[in-house]
Amino acid sequence: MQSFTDRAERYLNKRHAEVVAAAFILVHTIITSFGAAWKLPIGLLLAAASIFANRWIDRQGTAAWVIPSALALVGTLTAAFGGSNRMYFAYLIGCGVISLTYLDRRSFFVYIGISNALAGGLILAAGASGARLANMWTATQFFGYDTICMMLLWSCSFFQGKAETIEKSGHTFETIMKTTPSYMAIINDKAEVEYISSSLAEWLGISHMKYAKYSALLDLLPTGDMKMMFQEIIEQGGYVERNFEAVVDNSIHWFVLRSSLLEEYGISRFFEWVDITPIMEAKNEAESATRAKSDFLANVSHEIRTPMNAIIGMTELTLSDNISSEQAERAMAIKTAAISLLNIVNDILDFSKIEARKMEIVSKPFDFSSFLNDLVNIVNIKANGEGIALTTRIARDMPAVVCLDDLRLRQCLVNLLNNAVKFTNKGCISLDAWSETLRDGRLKLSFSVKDTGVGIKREEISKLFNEFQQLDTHKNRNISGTGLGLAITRRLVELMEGEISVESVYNVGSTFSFFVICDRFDAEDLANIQIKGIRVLCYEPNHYHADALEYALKNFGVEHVVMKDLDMTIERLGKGGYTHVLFDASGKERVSAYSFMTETRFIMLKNVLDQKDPDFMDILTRPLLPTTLANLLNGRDKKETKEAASVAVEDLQTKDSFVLVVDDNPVNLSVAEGLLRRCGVNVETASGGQEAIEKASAAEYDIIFMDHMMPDVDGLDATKAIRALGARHLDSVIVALTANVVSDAREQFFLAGMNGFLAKPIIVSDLHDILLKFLPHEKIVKNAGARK
Amino acid sequence: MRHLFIVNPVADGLKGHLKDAIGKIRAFLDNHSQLSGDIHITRWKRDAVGFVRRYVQETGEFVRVYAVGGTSTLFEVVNGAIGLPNVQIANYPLGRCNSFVRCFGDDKLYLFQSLRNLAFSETIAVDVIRCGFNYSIAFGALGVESTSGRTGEALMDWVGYNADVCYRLAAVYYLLRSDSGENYRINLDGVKLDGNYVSILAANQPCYGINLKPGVGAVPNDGLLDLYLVKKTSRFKQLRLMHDYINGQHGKWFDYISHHTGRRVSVSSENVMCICADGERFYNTSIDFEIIPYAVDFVCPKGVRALRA
Repeated sequence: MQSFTDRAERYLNKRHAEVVAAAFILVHTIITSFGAAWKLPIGLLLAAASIFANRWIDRQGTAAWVIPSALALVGTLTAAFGGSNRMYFAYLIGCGVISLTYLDRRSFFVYIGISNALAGGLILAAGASGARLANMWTATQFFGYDTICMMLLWSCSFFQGKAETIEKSGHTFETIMKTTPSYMAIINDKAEVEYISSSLAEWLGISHMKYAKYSALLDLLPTGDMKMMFQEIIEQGGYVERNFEAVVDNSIHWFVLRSSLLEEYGISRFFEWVDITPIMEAKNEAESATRAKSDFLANVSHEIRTPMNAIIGMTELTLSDNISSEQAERAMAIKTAAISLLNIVNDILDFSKIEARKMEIVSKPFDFSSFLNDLVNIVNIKANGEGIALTTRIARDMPAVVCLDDLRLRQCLVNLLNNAVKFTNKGCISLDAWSETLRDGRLKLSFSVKDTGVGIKREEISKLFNEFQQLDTHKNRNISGTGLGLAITRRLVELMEGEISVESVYNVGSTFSFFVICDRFDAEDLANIQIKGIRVLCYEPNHYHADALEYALKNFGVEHVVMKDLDMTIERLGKGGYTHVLFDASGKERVSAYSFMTETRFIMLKNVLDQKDPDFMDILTRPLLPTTLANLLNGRDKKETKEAASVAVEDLQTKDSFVLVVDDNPVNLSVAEGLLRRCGVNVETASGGQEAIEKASAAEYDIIFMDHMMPDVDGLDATKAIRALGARHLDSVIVALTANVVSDAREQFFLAGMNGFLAKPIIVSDLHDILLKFLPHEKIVKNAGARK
Repeated sequence: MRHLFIVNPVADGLKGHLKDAIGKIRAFLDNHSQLSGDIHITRWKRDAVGFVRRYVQETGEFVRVYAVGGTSTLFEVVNGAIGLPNVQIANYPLGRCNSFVRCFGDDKLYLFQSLRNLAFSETIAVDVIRCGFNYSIAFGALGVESTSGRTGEALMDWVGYNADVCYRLAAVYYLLRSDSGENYRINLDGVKLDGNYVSILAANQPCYGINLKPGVGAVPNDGLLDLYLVKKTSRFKQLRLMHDYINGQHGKWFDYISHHTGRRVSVSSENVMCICADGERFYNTSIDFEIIPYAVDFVCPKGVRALRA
């Protein structure tokens, strides 16, 4: 319910207030001019003058109240001490100019207070004689008239002030509604329009926004779905924000809408929606470009890897044939070059994937010890071949099982280690790793690769992780690489919530460090010593390996001595009391003279490329990883004292196994067939999906290797068709054999019902892993040294 | 099939009888347990538009929507249902005018006022007129119909009774004014029909208002829009002309009343026009009326067919 004042505020404005004031003066003039008609025109003049003077005062500001107040004071004094006409004039002056002050409430009160009190005081001071008393009475009457007049005029000014405020805010609101580019609508509690913006009127095809007033808002909306949505919002109440699309003029437009309640003067709700079609179109275009990029990636991946498969596979088969050493050398060179090319292609594809935000970190639990083992194996031969010592300092309290993307973590570390090997001519490469539990219970795994290589100039460090960046290209021109490795490493580390950094001194060496964050899988540590009373004596002439051994044994808290001098080692050995003696091969003759010490176990340390020693059984290959050392010291390694860090995989042999290989490329078929026959597998081939379905329905196979992209029936459809052949085919093993290695494709394979995935070019060890995984156990004849 | 009853509490026939009406519907549904139904009482203007649309889309089944009220209620239901394939519309006429169902015969109105009839009758496909962004099932009008209709409603709200008299008084007042009629630019399927008219009626059926039948020859399922144009003439002649016009007696006024058929008509004016679609008013300086043939399935009780006036 609106109060009288509220309603009055709406209707009174400046003009009204002026008219009221002037009318009052006029009425009073008429009343007092009875019998004195000459007073009337003066009164009229004063009434008019009051309006113009009011406007003048309005422009001058509140300080101008002094003038009318002074005049009113004079008028009152004149009234008190003067004759009737003078009193009248004074009164009119007073009333007339009072209206000049009505805008300012302060001046009103001041005038009343000062002028009338002063006048009254003066009257009293002049003595209360009859005439003075009569004048005082008259003055008091005037005071009464003054007051009434003032009150009325003050009310007008009050309302006028309010009306002006309303007018001002109304004007502001109108300006907003006329100029805003957003579509705005305000409805009342009957869902009828109170206001819409000009832009909305234009959009709706309404000539002027005022024509929409009191129409139902839903009547104005262009589509049924918009009407439905707005009705839902009105029904829902509260603040609503949502995106929607509407087909207007046969084209799709996207909007962001906001709506909130307004509860004042019968207004119910406010709507605002903004056309974001250009933004959405740009977004769709960008998404389309990303999809095109992904498709390109998939195609490039397939198109390059398919012939690479032929090169590497055929070379592999050639190497296994009876060929001369010269031919073997050439074939090996082809294979090495092909693998190198493949690595470059992989780098480029990986980088493109990262750029297209298609790289995913697939976290899953993996055995950290095996991970380190494989990692070291990959780099050890290369480093050793260059005469560089590869050492490790792995904290024993690192987790035994880590939940992370082992593939990507390995990629980062291999990149750094390979770089270290590339840029180090002599000395040592050290891989350090340690962990820390964060406050939220997650693990921070830290790694560093330190080398004694060529180092990096200070001014080049900042561009080290930029893509396609190779430093000091003149000096390093014989060092191969695309310049993507570190850029990829940095991105991968960042995807794993980590950071990478480098410290380097030119011509001294570099240390690349990074950390990643992962979830802890369980509480078990990487390695622990469970047996008490272990005393270890080490002879390690190489100071890099000696330092690493020192670190490892100290980390275990085991009593130990690491000697670099053989004589001193022998002296200590002679005193006895050691449970384990680890010695370099160079000290074998002198140390093994003490092999009569039955309470001591003697373990020879060798490098990966060193010849095997048939006379000595207990041999460990450097670098010693924590698990290896722990197993040794705990006495759990008896079966594994053979070369645990085995690199070469001996051939896997099977019997009575039947495999179908499906590929539309005859070369690929030939490669796969050759590699499988080497393992004793009976191989049938099919050159397309349709042929594969026919063969699968006629015979049973232990494994079907299925290519993906084939012209007639592709691998996915063929797989689905084979699965649909009958109950027995639901359990058939179908492995994708494909050059399409983007992650989306892999998901498709599994969704189609495939059991596994083997990338082309085929890596023999991966092929063996697949055979080991899916062939029945009784069909595996020989599996010596295959990678676990 | 689901049955949705849209009840307009401010429909003439429901004022003061809302509870009874709801009770009647509930009793009907209870007595016919094979029918699954819902009742929605509209809360504000066009509440039914969004509600019907959402209900039909979310249900996924066929829905028979009953507009329990007058032409206004039917208007809202049509606008909610238009374009949806799984909806049928029925009208339980409880309004002031009930324009659309009257086209089936004033003496047949009682057949529509049977829930049983409406629930178990077949449907016929009827045309709908697109009026700008809205859809009307009965008519679209400009000029005396819409302007006097607004005045008549205001008068009726003030007086409180006898809508028919109020509307007629308002029409007389409009026709006697010197500024009655307007210069319109009209384009019917490419044919220009510009002129000064006092009434423009785009009819899908012959009836509007209370007991008025100006749309001679309009049939709701012929796929055609019937356009009636009444030229401006002298004031008192207009009164006589309009009297015959609204009662469907166009014969002797062929110089002033023209009837056209087509698919789409565009009307515009320099001054703002009061546009009426099934009794609902909009204001703009231009409007398009376009027939959408067989746009909705309308429940037609047995024994009833659409009549020309």
